[in-house]
Amino acid sequence: MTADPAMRLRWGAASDRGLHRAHNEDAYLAAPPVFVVADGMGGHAQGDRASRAVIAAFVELVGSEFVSADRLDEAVREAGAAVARLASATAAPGSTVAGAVLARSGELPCWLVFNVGDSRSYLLSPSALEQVSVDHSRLQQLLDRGELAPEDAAGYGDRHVITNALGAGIQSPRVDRWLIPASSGERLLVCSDGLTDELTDTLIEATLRAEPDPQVAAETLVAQALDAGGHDNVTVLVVDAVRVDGPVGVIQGGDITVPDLETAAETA
Amino acid sequence: MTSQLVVTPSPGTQHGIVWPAGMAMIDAAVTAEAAHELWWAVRQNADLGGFLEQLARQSGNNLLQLSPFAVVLASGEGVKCAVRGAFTIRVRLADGQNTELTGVGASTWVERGLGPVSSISIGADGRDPGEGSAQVLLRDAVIRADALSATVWRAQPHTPEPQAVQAEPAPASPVEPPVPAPVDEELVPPRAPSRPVAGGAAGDIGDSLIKQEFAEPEAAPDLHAATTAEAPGAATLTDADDPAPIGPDDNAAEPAGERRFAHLWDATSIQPVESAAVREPVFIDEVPVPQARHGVASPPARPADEWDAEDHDGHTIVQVASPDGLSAPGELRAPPALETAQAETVLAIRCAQQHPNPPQRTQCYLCGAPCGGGAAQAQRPPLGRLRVSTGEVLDLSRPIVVGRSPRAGRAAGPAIPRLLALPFQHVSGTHLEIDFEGWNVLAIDRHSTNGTYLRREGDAPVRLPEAPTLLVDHDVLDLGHGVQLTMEGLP
Repeated sequence: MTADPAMRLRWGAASDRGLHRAHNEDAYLAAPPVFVVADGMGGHAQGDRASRAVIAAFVELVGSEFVSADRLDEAVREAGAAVARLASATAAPGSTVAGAVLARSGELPCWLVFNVGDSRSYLLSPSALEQVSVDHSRLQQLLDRGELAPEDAAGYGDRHVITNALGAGIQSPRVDRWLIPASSGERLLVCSDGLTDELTDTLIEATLRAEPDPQVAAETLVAQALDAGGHDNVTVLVVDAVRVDGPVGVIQGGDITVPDLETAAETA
Repeated sequence: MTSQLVVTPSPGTQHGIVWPAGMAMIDAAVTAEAAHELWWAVRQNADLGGFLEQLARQSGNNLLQLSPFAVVLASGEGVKCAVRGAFTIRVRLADGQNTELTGVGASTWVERGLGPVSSISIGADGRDPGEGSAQVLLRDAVIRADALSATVWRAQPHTPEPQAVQAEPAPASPVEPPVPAPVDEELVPPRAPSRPVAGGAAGDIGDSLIKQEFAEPEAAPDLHAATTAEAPGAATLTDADDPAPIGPDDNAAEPAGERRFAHLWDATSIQPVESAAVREPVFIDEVPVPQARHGVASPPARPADEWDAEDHDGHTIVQVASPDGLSAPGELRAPPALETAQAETVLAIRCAQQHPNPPQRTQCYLCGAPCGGGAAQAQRPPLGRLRVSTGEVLDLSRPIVVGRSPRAGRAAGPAIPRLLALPFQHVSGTHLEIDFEGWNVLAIDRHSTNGTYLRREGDAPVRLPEAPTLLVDHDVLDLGHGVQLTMEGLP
């Protein structure tokens, strides 16, 4: 019961500037325990600088076994400050950030998933592909408020309006975080919107299931996004939790909880 | 509501599925019943994701075992296509370029989004959809077919400002043999943007529908004569004449040859809706205005559609709800603060040992020493401990999420909770949550399957509601089968 939590990971990464953009304003870091994608904005090379500044703030987390929530917050704060420093009198470049770091809750190995903006993290379990992060976008706001029906979202035009970013003149970016127990056999996908705007979630899921090698999976997804239109920069990280050892086994078994008619009787 | 398809089938053995916003072909091995179900599903919600989900359901949600298919759906000003297996989708874009997709060679399937389209066809096993087409037009059907050819009707919005339209290739006349797209097509000068077109003619009246038809020589011989009589590029409809706000040519930005399909099939022409069935050619200047009585007229298109936004603005826009969140560029000097947890403060009095205590206490809840003095804000101390029947003891210093595979999400508040995993099948994934408010410890059942029972000394057990329930020292949360959480040392 006192065995140190340990995880064995395999991962792959791919990025492309797309077919219509002059620069790749995406940047990423894929090195345990940190898997992060940043999608810069600002144009005229400002976006590249912004996303690279974000990634630079996470580099020092590389090599540690786990990242605490405080250390993650600190890195995001540093990233925000670094992007803010790029601002000039005429422009305030910005960047999204999304990803996951390995964390520990007590002795339980976890993914600490986080995002600012509309880059995303998904978790592929044996039963489903689940989008973990929630976009900070105008579209998501309308969905949350019920002002837009989910079935109309695909045709919604202003899908590139985001409501939160690092830099971009925003003083207090909101960071959303999720803490999820890591389990073996699960696959994490971190990506910029250049992937999710081009492909259906169904094709993303099928590809993640079809390609066992995470590097091949990442490259295939990028190639599919380019084939689908490649309107934007596209970046994909695929991380496999090959083995997870914790002090307590987390029972997976999907979403099924054994209904227990006896409990009520027993307790009452 | 965007574009609509009018489809001509070529009879065959595969399933052809047609609905107003799209068409699909499914492998012949699929049952007719399944094809009907698919038609019904996409008829309700025609979206590529929805189509694929319905198809996946038919193969037991095994995405790697989907039947071969090809699907085309109207989406915004353009179309979305997907193809798996030995189907081929051939597309003639509104700007005269051709492209084709096949699923051959893909381990999953191929998806592609395209801009405005004039005609599209789906063929099984390389079948040329042009040959032997039945003389019927379909808007809703499930039939046996080897190919489907569609013409695309799309909403023609109010004419925008004439803009610098990219040079367009002159549309091929139907009597010309298929030729490769001219290499120097970009050199063709743009046509005068003032040329009146349907939308322009409609002017103040609003929308009209323009049909961009992929006319078949056999079907419309008159069309040939009429088309060829025109000066090249002047009479037939292409987007060069079309002021629809599709922006300066999406495809011009593509690498040369990337999306070009060197086979031009047929001419493009335009007809009003009512003549579609008889296939009389009517040229663009003669198109009558709004067609709403046919029930296919669309609301005004968005002034900037998704293609526009993606290709021409090219940048993500940040929009903040209130201007307070914004500062002038360059104004930021201090690192921005993050909206994350600050340790919560509570109003507290102190005991002789300086332990913070709730203001109403006379004795310290930690050491028993007398409390007193004025109340002041203090950082909230741990509010006791939670002892788990498995042996673990957790400080009540952070919220705790309890479950078989518990998750803490955005809704769980700014502080990152501690996860307590209980490896028992009768415990729900995320079963219950312990949270704090001031000096209070609260339990919230997270809609667990088997419930959480609160055992309090002297009281009958009660099932926890999903609303927060205040806990006191020695309370026991019972998850059944001996799995219990005991509160110790609460203030």
